[in-house]
Amino acid sequence: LQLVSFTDERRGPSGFLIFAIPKPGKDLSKIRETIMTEIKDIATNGPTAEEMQKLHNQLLNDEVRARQSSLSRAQAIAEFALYDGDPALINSELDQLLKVTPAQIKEAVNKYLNTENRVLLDIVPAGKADKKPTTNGN
Amino acid sequence: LPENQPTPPDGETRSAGDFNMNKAVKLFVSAGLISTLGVGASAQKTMNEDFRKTAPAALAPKSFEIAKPFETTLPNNLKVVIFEDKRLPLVSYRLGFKSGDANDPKDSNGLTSAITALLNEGTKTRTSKQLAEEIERLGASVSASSTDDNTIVSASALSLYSSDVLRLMADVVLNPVFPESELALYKKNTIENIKYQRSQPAFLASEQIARTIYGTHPYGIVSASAADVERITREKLQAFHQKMFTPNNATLIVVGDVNRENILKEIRDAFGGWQKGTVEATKFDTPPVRTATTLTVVDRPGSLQSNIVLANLAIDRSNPDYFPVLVMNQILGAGASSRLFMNLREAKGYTYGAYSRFDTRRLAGNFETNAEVRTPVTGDSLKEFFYELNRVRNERASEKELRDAKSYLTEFSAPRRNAGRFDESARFAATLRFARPIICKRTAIKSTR
Repeated sequence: LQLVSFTDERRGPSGFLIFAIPKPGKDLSKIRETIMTEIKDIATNGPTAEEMQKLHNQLLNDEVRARQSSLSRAQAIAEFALYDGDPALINSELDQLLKVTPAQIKEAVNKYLNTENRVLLDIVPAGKADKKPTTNGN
Repeated sequence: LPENQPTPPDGETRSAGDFNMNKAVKLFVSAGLISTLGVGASAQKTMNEDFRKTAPAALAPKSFEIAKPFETTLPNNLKVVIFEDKRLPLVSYRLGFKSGDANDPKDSNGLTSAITALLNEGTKTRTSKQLAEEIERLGASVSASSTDDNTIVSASALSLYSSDVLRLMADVVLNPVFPESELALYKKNTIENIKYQRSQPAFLASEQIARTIYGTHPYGIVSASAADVERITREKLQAFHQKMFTPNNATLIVVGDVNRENILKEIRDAFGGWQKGTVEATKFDTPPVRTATTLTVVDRPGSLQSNIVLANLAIDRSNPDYFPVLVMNQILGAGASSRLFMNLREAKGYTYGAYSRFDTRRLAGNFETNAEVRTPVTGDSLKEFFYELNRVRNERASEKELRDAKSYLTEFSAPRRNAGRFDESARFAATLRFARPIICKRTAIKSTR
């Protein structure tokens, strides 16, 4: 199984997407159920202290690594200038991210990741349409 | 352009893009939109100003020096090389072994590769899951890989976690247990991957080339077979790990924001108790001597393209002709302004790309030119390949070609471009340690300028 989630960052309304690519023969409904359970878990309990530590280390690590080459620094500054009108944001983005609290994450998951209000797409090989779930199936 | 793209409130153009496009790509697309829509009329004007008509002259080359490393050897013969580099709060480790896939026992192809894949799938005190969680929690990375000549375990992290990641690295190097369940999963995935590889024309070509050029020398094997993988057992992995992963066969390279004395102490703590082994010099068969041109055809029904590879035995990495060969290859076919590309793609339109390369390894090396061409022009493409090979052999390169090739290799070479990147510096340092003394490389870069 390969699993990724990300926000589709835009100036207007953005989407939050989760992708799962199962290995052949895996039960799709079980994968969906696990994903929904994890979302509900964060919505109810928020992230754990250990998850926050992991998040902070990864944010720091990614940020420092992104500063290694002059090209990626220039690119980041250009993006802040173009999208946000303020190239100096490169100096404060990391602090903003590190300031986020577990309570804020819990609140955001409750607000935006309503599992009843989602679009679900199963993309299956042609001729295997019988594997398609019902629209309300988790 | 999608018609229904919402206009952002401030009226600026913004690409809808694909949802998986990263910011960089979005930026590029947005810039394109501005000029096509005529939004940036002033930008258009700027683009046409006189000063843009000629390329600016190149700046004078800047000197390029690799920081001097500190080198020492532990009592168990583990070589330690430390580059203190405080530019960023990062650390990278490379533990390199001077043995690789070529040293696999004759009846156990793929053993080294399996060891590297399973190294961080469980140790005496940590399960695969615990290792993954600890590494993730630190925002670190620990991995291992092998080539024909070398096996390298890599680890990197914020320098804040220098000790934690060093201890994790030492654990996977010294105490792997190769759990049965992980081995079973590895076998399954690897056999799937081998099946996939065999469906790829480039793999089939490289397999034939290696066999033809290297014969029974281990470089003649490009991949283990499914049967080889089936034969791997936990006992074989343990025994071979015990034999090859010895301190007297290894060099540990540290690059980053570390204090030399502190990190040395930690390295002694982590690796000092590692017992010496005996490194036997493996005897390899000699690659066959070639006296005539031979042709091998791999029939692959249904292919829309021919994958052409012309190859021969060439030089190993320590050959004194290494640098002249590098410059020659830049002229012949290393890049998109080299002769092969300009001829077969730009002038003739036979292919998306035609290249040549020298694969210089420790014990031997080979030369290859290749292109994937439309099937009907297979013969015509061969003609152009032979034309270019004869031309580079028989005629002197022009002064301009020589100058351009040298300036590309010295000013835009990978080590120079990546000098600011820690992982790259560490990798580069590791390559050099195994290839030839650093001082030699430095001199060469200067003298070819």
